[in-house]
Amino acid sequence: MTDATLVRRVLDGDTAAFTMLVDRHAAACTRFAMRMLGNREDAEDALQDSFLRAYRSLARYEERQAFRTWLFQILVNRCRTAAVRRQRRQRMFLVDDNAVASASVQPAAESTELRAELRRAIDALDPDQREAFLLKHVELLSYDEMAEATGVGVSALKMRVKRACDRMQWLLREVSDVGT
Amino acid sequence: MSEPDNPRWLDEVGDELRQEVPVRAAWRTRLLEDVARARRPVAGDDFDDRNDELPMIPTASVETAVAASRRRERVIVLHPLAGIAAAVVFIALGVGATLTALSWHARTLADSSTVTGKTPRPGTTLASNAPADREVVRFELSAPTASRVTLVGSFNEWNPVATPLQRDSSTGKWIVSLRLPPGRHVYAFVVDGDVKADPTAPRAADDDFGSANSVVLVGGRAS
Amino acid sequence: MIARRFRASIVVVTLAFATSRAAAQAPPDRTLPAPLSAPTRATLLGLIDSARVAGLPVDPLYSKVREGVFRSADEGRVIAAVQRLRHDLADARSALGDSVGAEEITAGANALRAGIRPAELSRLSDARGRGTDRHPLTVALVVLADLATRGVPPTLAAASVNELVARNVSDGSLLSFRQNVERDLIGGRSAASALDARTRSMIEDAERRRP
Repeated sequence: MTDATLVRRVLDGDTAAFTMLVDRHAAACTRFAMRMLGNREDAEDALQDSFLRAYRSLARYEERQAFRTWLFQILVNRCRTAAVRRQRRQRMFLVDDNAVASASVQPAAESTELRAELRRAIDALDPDQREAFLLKHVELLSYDEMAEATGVGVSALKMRVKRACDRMQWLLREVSDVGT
Repeated sequence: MSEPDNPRWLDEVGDELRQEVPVRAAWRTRLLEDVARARRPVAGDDFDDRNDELPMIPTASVETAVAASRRRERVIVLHPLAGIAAAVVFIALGVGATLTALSWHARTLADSSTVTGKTPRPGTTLASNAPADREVVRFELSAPTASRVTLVGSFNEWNPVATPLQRDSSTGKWIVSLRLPPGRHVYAFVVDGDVKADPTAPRAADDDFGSANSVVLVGGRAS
Repeated sequence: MIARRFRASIVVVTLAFATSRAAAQAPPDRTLPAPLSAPTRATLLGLIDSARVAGLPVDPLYSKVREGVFRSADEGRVIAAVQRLRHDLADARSALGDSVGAEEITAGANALRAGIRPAELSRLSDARGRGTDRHPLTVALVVLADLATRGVPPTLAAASVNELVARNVSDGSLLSFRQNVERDLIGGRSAASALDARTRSMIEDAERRRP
């Protein structure tokens, strides 16, 4: 059953069809949100928000567009909002150097599978570059799909991806011999 | 501009970043609950909040917001102030011939002293998940020959060891008081391993598993 | 070195700033008990999920599963019980109206199980009124299910309770009514006679108390 068929079913009143859409797309969305935001709590909030907005606005989905792209459009915006909110929170608190020094460096448990240096490299990217890099090389969207999801033109996206790749390569080469 | 073939390092990085990040079951459950409550989409509807920005909490107000959210946890909102806050009472009756060996007596009381707060608006249901809304309900039975009595029901996940009754040596009665949320609860007594409904309480109709259960209502309001 | 690069957010998020969601109390346990086999768990989760997305209360379904495990029922029986309850919940909501709460739906499902027909639930709901301000029917439905379970013909029970609800008899009085009918039945009175007498008595009381 295609995504478009499931959407039609939901609009006809079969709310179980939305559960199927969630289960199809939650994994990829979770991965993107986690890689963008770096922590489970923010990621899950952004995911929750995205899926609920998708559900409420489902009648606005047009079948000419891949549902995944339509969903990522919402998710990209929610992650951007979450990142801005987090920056505001960070500015509000005095950083206790002792607490920071004694705090664990480990990221959330499930992402320890990711090499620490890879995580640091992704985190070190500018948010725009990180977003473009993840959509292109992790979620494997086409540039046209990325343009729909981000609202950014294809040329600008290609530039962001290139800069992200250059920076990643440089960061990773620092740690280990990453060949070209 | 055509995309050059990816260098090997980029393929490796992409593969690694593409590792699945688990979707937490609790997150999924919460989402589906929210979906069930959400505005239902209908074909032709032009509702669209995909890009609506909720007002950001201004920096200066965050501490106020945090304190307010903590206060909300402690607000107890239920029950009219009428004396009928202790509305649900099941009085022991004589039992039919099939239960002559035991004299059962179960009584539940709503202790209004646990509850203060504003009168709920009419029509609100009994249902509430907030622990702060709970009332003390007393279960009591007279079973002089029993050596162990516990309570099982929807309020303790049907765990037969979680809620033992205590024997009052002066009266010979088995008693337990529980803090239960408002609503309809289904329960039974387990007396030395045998499951018994409370014959003095309303019965639940379903006997899917062979024996009937009893119903206790908490927070019943007189209209 | 690591500390300096370590982002402050991970420390501070655990401190005073709690989103309203984080500050909310823990939700009820909505997991399936351990002894169930994987295929049964999958079937049950599918049933519960579909109920949830349909807006039906899921706590009674989880409770039904746990009861089944407690009573050592075989897994097929547990699944059948959950399926049946899910249908009853949906039918109860259809009969009572979309705006009723979880407790009413659950009590309504139990009344259906006791042999009360959906049309009788609808009539009861009409008697109470269907506005959003209406007093819940939970107690009336519990009383109805109880009477039917004790052998009172469902149509008679429904007619009596309907009449009392239409006259805005209080929840406390409904519960007293139930006790009195039970006492009469135990004493050997016929259901029709007990219902008739107790209903009339309750109505007369309600009339007398009216200002």
